[in-house]
Amino acid sequence: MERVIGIDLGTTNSCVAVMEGDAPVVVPNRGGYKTTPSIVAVTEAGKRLVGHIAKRQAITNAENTVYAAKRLIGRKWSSPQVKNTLLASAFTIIEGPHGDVRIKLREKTFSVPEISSMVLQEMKVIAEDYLGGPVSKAVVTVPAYFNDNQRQATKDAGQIAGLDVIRIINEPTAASLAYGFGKGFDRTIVVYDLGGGTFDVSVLEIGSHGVFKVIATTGDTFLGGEDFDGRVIDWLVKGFHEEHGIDLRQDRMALQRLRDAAEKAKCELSSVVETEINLPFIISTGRNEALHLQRTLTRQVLEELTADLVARTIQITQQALQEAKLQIDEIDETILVGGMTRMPAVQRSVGKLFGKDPGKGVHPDEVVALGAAIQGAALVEERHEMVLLDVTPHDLGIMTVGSHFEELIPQNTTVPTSRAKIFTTSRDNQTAVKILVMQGESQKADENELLGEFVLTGLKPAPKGQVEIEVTFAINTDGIVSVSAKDMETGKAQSIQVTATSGLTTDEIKSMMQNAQEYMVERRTDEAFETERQRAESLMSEVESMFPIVERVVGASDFGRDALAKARSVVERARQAVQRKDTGAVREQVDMLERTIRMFRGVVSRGT
Amino acid sequence: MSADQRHPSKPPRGRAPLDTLDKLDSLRPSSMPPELGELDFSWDDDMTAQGNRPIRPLLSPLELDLDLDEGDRPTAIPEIPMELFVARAMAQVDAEELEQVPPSSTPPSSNPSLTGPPTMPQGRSAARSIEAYGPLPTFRTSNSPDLSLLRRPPAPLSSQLDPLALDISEMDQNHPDTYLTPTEPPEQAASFKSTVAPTDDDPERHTEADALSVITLPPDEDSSRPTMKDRYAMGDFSGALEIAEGLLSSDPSDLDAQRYATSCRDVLTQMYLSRLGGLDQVISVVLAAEELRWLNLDHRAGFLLSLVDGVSTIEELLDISGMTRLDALRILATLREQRAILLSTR
Repeated sequence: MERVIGIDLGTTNSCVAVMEGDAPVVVPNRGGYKTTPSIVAVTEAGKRLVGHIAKRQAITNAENTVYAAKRLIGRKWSSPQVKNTLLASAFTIIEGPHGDVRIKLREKTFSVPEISSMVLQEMKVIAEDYLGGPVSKAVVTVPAYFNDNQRQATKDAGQIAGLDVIRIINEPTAASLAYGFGKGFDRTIVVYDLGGGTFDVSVLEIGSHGVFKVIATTGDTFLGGEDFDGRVIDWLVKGFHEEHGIDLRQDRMALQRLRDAAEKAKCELSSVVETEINLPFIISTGRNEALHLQRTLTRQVLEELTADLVARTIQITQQALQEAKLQIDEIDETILVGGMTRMPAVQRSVGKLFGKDPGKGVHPDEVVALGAAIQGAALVEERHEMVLLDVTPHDLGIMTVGSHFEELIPQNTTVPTSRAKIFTTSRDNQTAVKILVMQGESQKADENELLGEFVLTGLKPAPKGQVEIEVTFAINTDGIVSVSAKDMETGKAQSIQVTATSGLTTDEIKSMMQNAQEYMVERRTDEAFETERQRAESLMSEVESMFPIVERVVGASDFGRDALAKARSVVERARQAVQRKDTGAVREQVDMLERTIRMFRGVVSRGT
Repeated sequence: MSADQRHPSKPPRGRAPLDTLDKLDSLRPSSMPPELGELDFSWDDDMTAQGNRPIRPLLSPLELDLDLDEGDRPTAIPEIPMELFVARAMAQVDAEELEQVPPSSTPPSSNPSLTGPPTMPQGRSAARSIEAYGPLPTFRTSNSPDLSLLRRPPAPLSSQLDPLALDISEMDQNHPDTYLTPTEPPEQAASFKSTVAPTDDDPERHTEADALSVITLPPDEDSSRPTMKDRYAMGDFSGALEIAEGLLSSDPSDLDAQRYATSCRDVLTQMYLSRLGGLDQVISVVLAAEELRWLNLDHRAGFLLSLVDGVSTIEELLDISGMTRLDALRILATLREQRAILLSTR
């Protein structure tokens, strides 16, 4: 049975997990890290960098490094979130051909799903390396507040990366799945997710029969670990300026080092009470000397620097409880998600709010991916008791007179579903009505997202309120929303189908898939050559080291001279194959080199 | 202090001194203050011998006597490793010899047609170029000797300065060190002739500001281009690149300079790569943080060092450094020479 991987596609870090037997495990990347930065960059030479390596050059190559693409995925160019991101991003964001968002890296333009697909592709490779075979199916998590377009864009990203995204699930749902998996209890929990770039808090009900229901979710898409790092950087920059009169922010290399050091110090202070930040040769003075930065940061200072950020998360959590209409004592457990929740001040604050320590049974960095892996395995193994049902992420409805939003299908309704409601005309002798299909939770229509619109004409002229129109919403298993309006008296009807779109056409997606496949072929070819090259060079070195001994033992004989000449020829051919970058030829020569070594060893053992 | 220094009259022992290096050492200004010249170098010697030995003050550059015996002069510890110092000196002498080579040593592509990039110079300059000894093109510093002195005897003052080029009569005689003085190396003094464009025939109107501007004038383009080609021909690719980049900064469309710059970068990249052992070498820092501080690094080297994690290869480091490949490779090669980093295969 094919393995399904669970991917937590985070704003700042991503994580991949897979079921091993009955237990989910997180797969480490090649560097041994269990999370991989969701950062993509293109170097000056046009090389693509993903993950840690991209993060390490994020400031020195800021214009060509995309981070937090998740804030843009599935969004329209005109959305306020895109405008906010425009202000905060060093990379170039431009409007796409379909009113979507595109990102310019070097001379090439990428769609946001394409950027996310590069991260997903990296996670796929990590899983394939671990499992030793191809992977094609995945469950990917998204924030609970993602709308249909954002979910569809995430699915498209998976498709471009060569993954069949068999289910998109909410991050808090995945976390609670990992937390409550197999425990068989009914609980109300709060998932407090403070990640690298975003803060999300969700209130969920876990049912004993595998029902995971998001009651409320809220957050701040511009609050996360990076803000905490920023405070440490400010502190370091200020101190250095006071001491030397130099603003380190003016130098990108210095800023990159400060950022790395600040993050490292912050992480260390979760387990120790003080740490030293030591950055030799941080900046040159212009007088042929370089200055060093050396400071000690204590946990207490870090907590003072970031107190307002922690307070803000608590405020948002209280807001989530209000939205869920729950009292603090009705919450059974708090689950901490995201690396920032390791900070003792965060744990203390959450504990203080709820009057009890947060649960520590789950790993904050891994829990979401683990939940996704559990769900993936359940889907392919058809273990229905653990299968989560797709639900509508937002209320669906229409705009009524006075710009009010009238809900037809509430949030978290299991799909497929269908609901109908009767409306009347709002003016005398009204012969047509315009149906605006919307999505969102606000009572004000203009605060919600417009999905589509159509007009029903041919109504019989009558005083207002006399003509009845039935509006029906239906969502099928593929998430396609059909809306129809019918004049109850005449039977005249009109309808529209709303399909979530990422802003990409089918042809565009196909083309991007092709590019991604070509990239993978090239990458795999390079990796295969590199493996063979290293092997060949090691063997060549061994053969060459044996030449003097073999020459001493059998060099005087015809056989010996012949063998040595052949061996030298093999080494030379191997060297040429390496220079030509001919993987097949190198592989052949590796075999020859191994045989040569075996023969030489025999000669040497007899000689000695 | 060596035994030879304590016994200045003693003839040198062992091998015959290399003339070049001896003179080089004699030219090296002492880092010690002049008061130390009053020291009795024989304070720990036998009392009977002391009276026979005159106390010699430290030599200043004004008192250079190239015929001094090795034992007659004081020395200072070179500020760069001795082997590098020797190598550079030898390279400089080689380069001078190459200057005598007929015009056939100019780069193959230096003809006016500008077809095809310049290629590596053939012959001795390619086999033993200045670059082979060290990446730093600017050898002479304020307190290091000018090796050009080695290849010609000190010229008389009258031949070192062109009175039309620079009138020193107006200079502040109370602060003679403000200006170039006749004790400056002949080559540098002579360079005024080519860099100063006399704007006023009346030497009386020369002021102190004029004199300073004379010193800081950049080389004009007319002399830069041949110098670039000469340096290239001599194998001084760093120097040639520096000039080519200077030319390109004033005229980015200068095809000749572009070709030389590209070729120099290629050669230098290959040179540094061969020193480092290839792009797949994994770099590790071998010095502790406190030891690193003793190295004379700049912030760019510090930044590169901060990227070294013991796992990443040179290739990966180049990708993330944000510097040009050539700059990054040059710094890495220098760090390796300084034994700050270790290279190994993955």
